[in-house]
Amino acid sequence: MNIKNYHSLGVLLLLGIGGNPTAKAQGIGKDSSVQVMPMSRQSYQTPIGYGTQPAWKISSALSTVSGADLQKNFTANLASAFYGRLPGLTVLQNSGEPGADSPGLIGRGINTFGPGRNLLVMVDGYESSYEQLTPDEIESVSLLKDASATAIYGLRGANGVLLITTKRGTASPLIVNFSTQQGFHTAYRSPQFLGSFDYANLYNEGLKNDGKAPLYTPADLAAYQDGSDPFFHPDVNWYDAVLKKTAPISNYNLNFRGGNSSVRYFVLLNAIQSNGLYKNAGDMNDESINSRYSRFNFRSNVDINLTKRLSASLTLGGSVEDKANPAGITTGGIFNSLATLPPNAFPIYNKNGSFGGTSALSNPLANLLQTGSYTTNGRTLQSTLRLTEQLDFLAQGLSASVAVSFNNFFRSYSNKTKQYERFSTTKGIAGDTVYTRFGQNTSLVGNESESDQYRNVVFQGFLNYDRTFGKPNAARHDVSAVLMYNSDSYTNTDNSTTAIQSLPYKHVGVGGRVTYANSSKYIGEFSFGYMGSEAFPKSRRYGFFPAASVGWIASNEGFLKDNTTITYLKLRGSYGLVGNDQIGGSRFMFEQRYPYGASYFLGTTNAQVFGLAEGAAASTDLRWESEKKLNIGVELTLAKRLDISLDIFSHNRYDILAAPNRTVPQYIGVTLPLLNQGKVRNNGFEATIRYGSKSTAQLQYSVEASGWYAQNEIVDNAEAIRLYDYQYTTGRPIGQPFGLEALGLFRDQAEIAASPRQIFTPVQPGDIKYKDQNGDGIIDQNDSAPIGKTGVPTLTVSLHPRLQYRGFDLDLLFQGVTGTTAYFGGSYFHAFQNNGKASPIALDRWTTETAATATYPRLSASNNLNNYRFSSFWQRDGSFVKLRSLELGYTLPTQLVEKVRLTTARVFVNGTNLFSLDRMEGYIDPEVGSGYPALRTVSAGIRLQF
Amino acid sequence: MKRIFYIVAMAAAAGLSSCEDLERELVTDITQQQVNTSYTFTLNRITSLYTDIPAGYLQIDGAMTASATDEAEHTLETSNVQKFNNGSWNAIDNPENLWANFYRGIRKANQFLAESDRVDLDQFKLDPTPSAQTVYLTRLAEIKRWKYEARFLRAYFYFELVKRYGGVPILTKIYSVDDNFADVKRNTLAQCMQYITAECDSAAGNLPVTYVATDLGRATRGAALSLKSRVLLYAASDLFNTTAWAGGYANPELIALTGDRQARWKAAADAAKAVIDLAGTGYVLNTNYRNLFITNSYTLPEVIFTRRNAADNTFERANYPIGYDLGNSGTTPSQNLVDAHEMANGTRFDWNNPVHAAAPYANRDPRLGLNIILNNTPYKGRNVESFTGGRDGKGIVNATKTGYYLKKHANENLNLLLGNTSVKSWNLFRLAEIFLNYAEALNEATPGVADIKTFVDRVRTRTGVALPALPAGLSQAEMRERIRNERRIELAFEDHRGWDVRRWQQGPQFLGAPLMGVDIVRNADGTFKYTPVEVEKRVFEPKMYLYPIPQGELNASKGLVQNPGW
Repeated sequence: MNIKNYHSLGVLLLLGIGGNPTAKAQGIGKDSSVQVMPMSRQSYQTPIGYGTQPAWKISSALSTVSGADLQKNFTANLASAFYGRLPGLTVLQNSGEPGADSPGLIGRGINTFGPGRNLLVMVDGYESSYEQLTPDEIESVSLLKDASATAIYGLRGANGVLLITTKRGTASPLIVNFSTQQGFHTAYRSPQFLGSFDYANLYNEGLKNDGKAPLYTPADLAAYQDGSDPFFHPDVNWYDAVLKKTAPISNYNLNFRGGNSSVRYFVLLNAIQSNGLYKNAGDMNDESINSRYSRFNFRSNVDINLTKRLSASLTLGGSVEDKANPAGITTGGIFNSLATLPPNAFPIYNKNGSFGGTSALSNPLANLLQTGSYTTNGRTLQSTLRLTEQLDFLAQGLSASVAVSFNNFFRSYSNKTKQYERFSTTKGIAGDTVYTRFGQNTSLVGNESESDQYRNVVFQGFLNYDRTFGKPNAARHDVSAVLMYNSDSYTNTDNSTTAIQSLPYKHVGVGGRVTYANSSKYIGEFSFGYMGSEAFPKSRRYGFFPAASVGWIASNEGFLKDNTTITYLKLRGSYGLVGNDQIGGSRFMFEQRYPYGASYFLGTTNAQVFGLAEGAAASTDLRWESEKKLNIGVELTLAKRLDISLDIFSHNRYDILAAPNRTVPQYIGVTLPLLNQGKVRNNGFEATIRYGSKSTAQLQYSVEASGWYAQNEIVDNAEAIRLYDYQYTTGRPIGQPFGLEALGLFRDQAEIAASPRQIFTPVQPGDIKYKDQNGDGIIDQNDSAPIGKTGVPTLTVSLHPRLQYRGFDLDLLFQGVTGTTAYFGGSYFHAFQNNGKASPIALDRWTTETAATATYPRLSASNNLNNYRFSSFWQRDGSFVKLRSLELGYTLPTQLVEKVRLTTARVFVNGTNLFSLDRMEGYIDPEVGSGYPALRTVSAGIRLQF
Repeated sequence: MKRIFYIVAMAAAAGLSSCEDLERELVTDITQQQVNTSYTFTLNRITSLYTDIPAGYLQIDGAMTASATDEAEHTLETSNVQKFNNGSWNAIDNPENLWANFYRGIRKANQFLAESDRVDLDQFKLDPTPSAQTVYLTRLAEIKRWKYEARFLRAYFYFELVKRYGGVPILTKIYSVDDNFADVKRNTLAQCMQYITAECDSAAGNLPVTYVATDLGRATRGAALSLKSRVLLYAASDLFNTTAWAGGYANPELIALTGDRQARWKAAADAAKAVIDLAGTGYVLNTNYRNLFITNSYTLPEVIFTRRNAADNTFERANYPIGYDLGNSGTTPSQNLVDAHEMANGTRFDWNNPVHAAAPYANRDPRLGLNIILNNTPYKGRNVESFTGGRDGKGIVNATKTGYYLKKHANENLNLLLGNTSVKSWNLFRLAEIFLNYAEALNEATPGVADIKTFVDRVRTRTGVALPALPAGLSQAEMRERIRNERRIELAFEDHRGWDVRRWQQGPQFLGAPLMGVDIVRNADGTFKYTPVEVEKRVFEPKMYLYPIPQGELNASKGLVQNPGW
């Protein structure tokens, strides 16, 4: 799909509106994306595991965000809209590259040192890819947090469950929404590097420090300074040469929602295109369509009452995404070369117009323009058919349903590669330019054989019961129950999938939940999952996961009923057991394996003979990870305007896989199996305070502040014995960095002589001095101790002010984290290492003159094993506050828009990731330290409703 | 009725889908059953046992064991081998922790012996054609022979453990992780020695003397007898016959033998002689000493048993002098070792002799120049510049600290920039060692007999070395010194020195002595001035005669006892 087609589709969407007969929607005078006041707490049908519940009846812990809120972040990746919006959800930003910008999602902190830390993500009740969804098709996103909410997911619920619910039809006249949003990305804090003059000066200094002669003569330096010789003394800013300042992003959305008593529908079409920051290479060379991401989404959710008792709902969602990248070199490769290639290595173009380069170093711009393209086409399809039969004739409030769901993702690759020639130049005797060619120009070679796919098939059956006994205002008994059966099977493969990995992953189980509420005051709920997975030995394949919760709505008691200060008060608590079957290790490791190992060589010709031996001992009693979760929550509303909610939790994960290093002697002679014996403790809280205006005020506003915290500790990981206590990971958070503790820079030889010997390389003044943790007079790897904090923040906070005045609305979302450590590593910070260049941070280097103020070690032109090893010297506090989104809108007066048959029309400007306050000294984004930069997006748009 | 139909339909749908079972659809791995019954897998299993023999090239964190002895200093300070020299190794952190490696080999051998009888040969057995019957009988014989190979290798692994740890648990059971380990005890040293020699005898009785060309490299009768020779020599040596160094250790039976030591010397001499006298082997000293350690040495008739390897160049990358492409200096021989080389006329070298000191490498035992790269001698197309300020000398980061580089084992002819590799095999037993074993044992068992001098002289005077024979009339003590020095030179860098010094109970004298190098200054006239200098102080405490049992083993297996001093 090229750019022309893409925009014409937008026009088509716009034209599509004209043909629709519109009925005046009732009660809609404003854009549905503008929400100042929260959804009503009491009656909102909140999605829970395999069902919904009115909010008042919920006694488990969950947090919910509406799809409208997610529209405030203009991004092509749904998960990138989650920052700070769901208390309990830690969102870790990765690369900003369109199509490769999935953030990491962690629910209530990390609870296992095993590899399976991912949330279970369910789209409309089925496991599916979700990042391709567009906010306009999302009704809500809920994070299920405690045992009561997740026990029904049995083996799969322990890491938390993210429920994504798409919009469905309503029994109301047709509402047509059209929106478009157009904007552009810029790189947030693109790395800056020193130009050739500074580079050469510092390089000479590094050589001098290393006891070597300078490389650059005064004449060279002069040429770099005045730029008089751009071909033999080039000064190239490769970032500028390869990256644009801005790249466009645009979105078009059209959706229809409506229905009547027998048919209800939601239909959506969406098109988004987000271009990468690479230079518009496609314009210069047809073969290179670099870094573009475009996606088309459609959805058709239809509910039909087939007979009086039988209804069907069909959920169909799909997307097609196209992505292009330069061939032959990955994004990581491109940014690595941009970050290391010295500014004076060679010019972009030689004097004769050919590409500069050397035998070892290729030309990053030519790599983009001349190596062809990798394009991928990804398709997702989510399809579910559910039939529901009311069984009131058996018992009132009883119904049964069956569902079958297929969810697929397929991506095909079209790789077209070629090579190009580059020339290094030297000055001839007569001052002429002598060109030496490396590489050659070739024609495109195609490869269409790569693909990845995910596919699942799910069968479910439900028995639902929901009935209220008694009178509404007297003793009232609400009883609801669900009993369900689930079987699912999924396959996840790509070109590197091995035979064993290609086998389907399966779950079979039943689950259930009974909820009882007495007089809207006392709530009790029991839920369970009984589930088996193919991952475990036959004899112990199924697990039972029960949970119970209770709630008390105190404000419905007589003594608080008419209290005007405490207008709502609910206390709740839950406890239960959940499991995690993503335990790591190799599949089916409960069976003994005999892999091929090292070969031996025999005979007069030294012929290879394969060796085969018993592999790691089988984990014959393999089980899942289990977790006991305790949650206590309180929800309080004061004077109907101040909402406070607090949840505290305590998680105890056990049966985490670890090798029994402490209890099994090595003389048994076999690689130890992974056994279910690790333990992790994780405690934390989520707190939210919201203050809002009176619902009748002309100036409507609300301010919501949230904070969520989780701190884990490894209780037992069967760690092998270590020499010093500080070397144990047990008792520390998962992912605790270990390294040398820097004490500063050596002032002089006398200090070096008086300090413990640092064995990595001979040290000199200006080198980093480390702490001798074990006091043995030698600084070596044994002095590696816990330094800094983990890469996952312990505390996330968010501040979300919103206001609306007459037609204007404003919505901001600040997100901040703390309790994490960032690392100044790689070629950007470590000057001249691995043949790299230098950035401005190196200007603060240690020299004999600057010894008192230097903040950077003395320079070294070669790899310095003392200064650039992992140490606290390069760590920084990773805390930050970011303005994740800002939207300012204006809704046109109703009288005006009615003239053109619109019900609402709103224009808005939006900014996503506008700024960051942090401790990175201005060098990098605190989350995206290297590679494709984090993006800041500014856009404007219009939303129309008919 | 219609309602009932729906319910039934739904129930049926649910029931159908529940047929989805949780069994894996395909078994993608080799199963235990296949391993036990397949001839090919059984061949692969016995082959795998050989890979558990360590190749000594980069044995301790990229360094040779030589750098943990007075033979050499490893250039990289960050290598864990340095812990042996500064005394910072212990039961938790032992840089040469091969305990698990050898026990893995032992487990594999035990499994092989227990399971290899189940190979299914019915395809040939039941086929009456002569060719099938031939295959059947050949394979039957092969399987039988493999078991003796396994027993030899298991004995080898046990001896490697015993020389490090003293008595170790002899495991006949194949343990699983949930077994009770509390009852596992270290066997006494006597039991271990007895067990290993008996296994050697059994293997020697059943292994062939030679193999067909395709099987060259498998354990032979000579290999089994050679192992026995080495085991009995160690058993008779000082270390395993005294507890004086162990300071009142409560379990002397784990570290020392009792009884008739003279009989042990006699047995050691007999065992060495048995190798020498073994008919049909063709064992003969190689006429080119240096070729024993480089390309394709495994075919040479002096080699009795060798650890085979794929073509490689990691050793050359690690050990070429720093001034050569991709060289990293690695193992740099010590002045201590250089000084131990005799003069070409058989007398001792002496720095106090001004003639010697002026030209310290002139007129020396030829093995000095064959094993060690000396300053200003040709190597890879130029003269080596180990002098201060030279291309390979002090002033360059990671240049040799001793003034020497290693020549033995390194293939001089590889172009590392082009990625050249060569096949090298690590000699585990060669005839020269057996000669020296024999002479050493005989000198203790029956001092003065002619064979002692004869066999030392065979090594010294071999073609390519050609030192003069030992003088006649040496006393037993003088002869002992000469044999030990001969061993030091002949077997340098072959992972003998550290063990020999320990079994001779000479740790403080050699392993605890400062490691010496040479300071080389180039004079204005192009000549060189050589001055011995101390490179490193070395630490040796009596407890280091044996390795500590790994602390994790003591914690997990309460019946094990730690070695003295640790």
